[in-house]
Amino acid sequence: MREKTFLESFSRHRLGMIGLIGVSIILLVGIVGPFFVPFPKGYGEAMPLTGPSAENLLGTDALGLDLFSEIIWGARTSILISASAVLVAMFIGIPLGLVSGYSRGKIGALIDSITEITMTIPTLPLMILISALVGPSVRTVAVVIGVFAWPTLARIVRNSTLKVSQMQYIEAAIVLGIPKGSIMFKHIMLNIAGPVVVDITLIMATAVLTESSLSYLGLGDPNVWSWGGILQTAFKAGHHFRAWWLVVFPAASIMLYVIFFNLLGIGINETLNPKSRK
Amino acid sequence: MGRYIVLRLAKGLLTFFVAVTITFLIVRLMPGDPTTALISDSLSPDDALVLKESFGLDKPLYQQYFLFLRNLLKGDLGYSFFYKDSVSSIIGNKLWWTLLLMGSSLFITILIGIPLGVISAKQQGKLLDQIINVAVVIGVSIFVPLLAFLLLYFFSFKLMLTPIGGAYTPGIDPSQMFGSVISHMILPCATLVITYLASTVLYMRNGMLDVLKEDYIRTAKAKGVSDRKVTWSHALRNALIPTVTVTGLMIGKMVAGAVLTETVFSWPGVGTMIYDAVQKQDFPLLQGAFIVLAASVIVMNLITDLIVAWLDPRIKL
Amino acid sequence: METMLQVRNLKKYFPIKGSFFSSNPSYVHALEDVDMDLYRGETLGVVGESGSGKSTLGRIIIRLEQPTAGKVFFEGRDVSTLKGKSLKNFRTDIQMVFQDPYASLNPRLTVGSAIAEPMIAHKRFSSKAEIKEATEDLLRKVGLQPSMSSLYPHNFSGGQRQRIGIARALSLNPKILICDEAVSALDVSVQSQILNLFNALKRELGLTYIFIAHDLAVVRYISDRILVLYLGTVMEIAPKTELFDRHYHPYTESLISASPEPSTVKRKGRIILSGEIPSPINPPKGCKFHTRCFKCMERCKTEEPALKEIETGHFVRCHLYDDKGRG
Repeated sequence: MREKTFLESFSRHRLGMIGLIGVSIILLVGIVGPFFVPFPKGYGEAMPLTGPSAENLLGTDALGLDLFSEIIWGARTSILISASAVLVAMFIGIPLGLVSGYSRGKIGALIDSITEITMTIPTLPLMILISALVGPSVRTVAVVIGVFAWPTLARIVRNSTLKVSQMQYIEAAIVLGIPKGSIMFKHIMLNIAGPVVVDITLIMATAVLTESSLSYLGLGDPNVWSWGGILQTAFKAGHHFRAWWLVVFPAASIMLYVIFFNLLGIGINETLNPKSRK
Repeated sequence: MGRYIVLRLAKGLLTFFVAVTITFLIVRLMPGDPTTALISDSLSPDDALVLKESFGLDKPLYQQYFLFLRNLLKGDLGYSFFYKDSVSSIIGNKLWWTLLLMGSSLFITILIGIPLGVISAKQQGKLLDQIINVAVVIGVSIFVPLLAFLLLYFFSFKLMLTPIGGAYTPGIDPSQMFGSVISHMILPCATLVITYLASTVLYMRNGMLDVLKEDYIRTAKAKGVSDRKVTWSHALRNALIPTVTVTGLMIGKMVAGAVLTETVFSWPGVGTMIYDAVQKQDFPLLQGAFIVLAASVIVMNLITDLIVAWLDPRIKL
Repeated sequence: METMLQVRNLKKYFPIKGSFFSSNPSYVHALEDVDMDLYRGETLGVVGESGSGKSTLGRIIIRLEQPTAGKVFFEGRDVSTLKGKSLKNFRTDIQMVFQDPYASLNPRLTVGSAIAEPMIAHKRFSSKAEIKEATEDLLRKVGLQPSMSSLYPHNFSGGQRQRIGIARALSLNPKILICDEAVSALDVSVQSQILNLFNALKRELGLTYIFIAHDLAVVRYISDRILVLYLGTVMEIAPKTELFDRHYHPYTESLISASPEPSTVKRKGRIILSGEIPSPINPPKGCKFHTRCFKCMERCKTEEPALKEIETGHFVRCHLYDDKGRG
């Protein structure tokens, strides 16, 4: 009896596949793109604030720089920040979730309380405060997003761990003398991957929204290109009404990034639990 | 009164306490001298010294903490660098505008969201549900400034139907104030409603699905109550509870949306204030903004939880 | 005969959730004063209904649970409270084969990794090649092909998975193997294959078994001696043939009469016990079996009988034999 592998089932999920393709394109553009396109800086050669044309596919900004190049470099920033935020969240959230789910001490209740508080209080004003104080940079933003994202991840890891800990193969591992660490970080981790991956895609998606919001408010790293930052420049200088492309293209990039990651997450989630929707 | 109210109040106070403590620690422990964060360098050295003492920046940390809490209870949130006025009075003026915007948006979102969620749950699997599902995915991916801008661009700039910004037309006759505010509020409100409708519908739908599965629905149907009546009376009552709970969740999230929306429409609330404060590096204002917003959200959550408790026969108030 | 394992005065009570805070906390009396010996090279069958505590007994011996009271001795040493390194070493002496072939193997590990993992964890070998060889050797021993080590559990049938579980348990060269309902989840035709495998392995490797099951036919096939448990208490212990020829305890009698296996003693007809099995939260006073016993006397209702050796190696806990044998 051969079960369908995950990939086989996932490939049937239309929305999930769209998400996967979209994410792959974005990753390709953001990682490989900057090698083909020069970093826009200084003053551009083209006329400032011109609309999309043959030379400048997406138009130019107030400094005459090519918007298309800015978008590509912005993709790299978005990927960098959201991936870093995910790593921060994973670094804190997964061990805490595993330990509290497996050892079942008081830590579990503590994690729940922290998660609830993080979900109740408005986090954006706090992130704004922190970013403003420390000074905006890629590192700050990534860490701040990750720090607010780990409680939810920890909770998911903990709940999955609680379920998996009951399985007989975990008991077998204990009886065989497998060390606790291996049980948690190998046996359990391998079996909770599903929900964890889903949450990771969600973090990737919301990280970009948060990062774009922070950049839009003027708290982005001034040394890199970011989609939110492009918007901020346009709004601040009042170009937004005249040069619609300076608003539409970066904003559309943001939304597409978020939508694709969300679709990917939904696809994975529904492939793992077919009962959750239909 | 009841045990639940007391517990819930305690929980709210604890949450506020945690939020405030985090703020305290962030400012004091961040790299750099906290003085620069709390006291403007444009003040005269004497004034600066007075402020420094009132914050207790020369004292050990735990003493600073008590000073901080004491000031908080007095309503003292520090002094704005830029406005040269107390943070509390500045925010006080602007808070009402933000609450007005958020409150109205929340109200409309619930008004539209609940029925849509119910329909989506009932029509599970069918075309309408699928359409709503796709819409929800797009909805949760909305980048607020973009939506705000698009609405502003089309309705105010191109079509000139609504005002460009602000909360009301300045110098207007007081009798027409209400209408003016409404017309200024339409677009920002619409932005928030569209943004948060998706999550509301999603949670309402899931809440309804859980409820519809329960046995008593089957029993009611077996008794011969008409299908429609079953849906709306039995299920609705109990599904309202998760929705109201979710509303509480979203109040916190809506703050983020409100901050972003206000900046696009120049709505004179806390959001625009934050934006300006960031530009001017007015840290006390930013700190005060967070504390005030956190407090507002906690209070609103408290109210919604109490409403839930009142509706739910299982919880003894 | 060398005694490998001794269980003395073993008690295990499980607290019931929620009852902890009331003035009268309730417990599930899983095991009550269990004494047991295990001799080298034998297969001791432990049989009883569900709720008899037989699995709990196995789990305490293997240290998945802690006893509430009592001790377990292995080769003379007290192993009930081992911790750390000594506990880890103890694992190499005694292992377990689990009941559910679909749940006892990690679905994300290849069969080869699952078998090799304990050996790696206990640093049995130093080179990858040695581990690979040992793994393949184990697979062969349980009747599977070495090439299967790169496959995943879901590629195998229930019976094959049990074989893998056995191979894994044997990877540490244990002296004792506890089989906790190891064939109960298998089809009848497969059961006999696995039982024969157990026997073959026992001869080949010089193992000692504790075989826990509820099916008397299975226990009869594989055991040398049999221990009968009822509601956490030992009711009868005897060598196999004696148990079936001359069983003394009424409970044993009812078990045997219910079993489809033909016995050498002429049966008077199927004995059906009256009543339901009592709750282990509130076990009956006196003899635990008295509420369902068809030979119940007045004495049984108030006084619990002691476990007495009626004949050499044959123990019974029943008032019917109060005047016989040594206590």
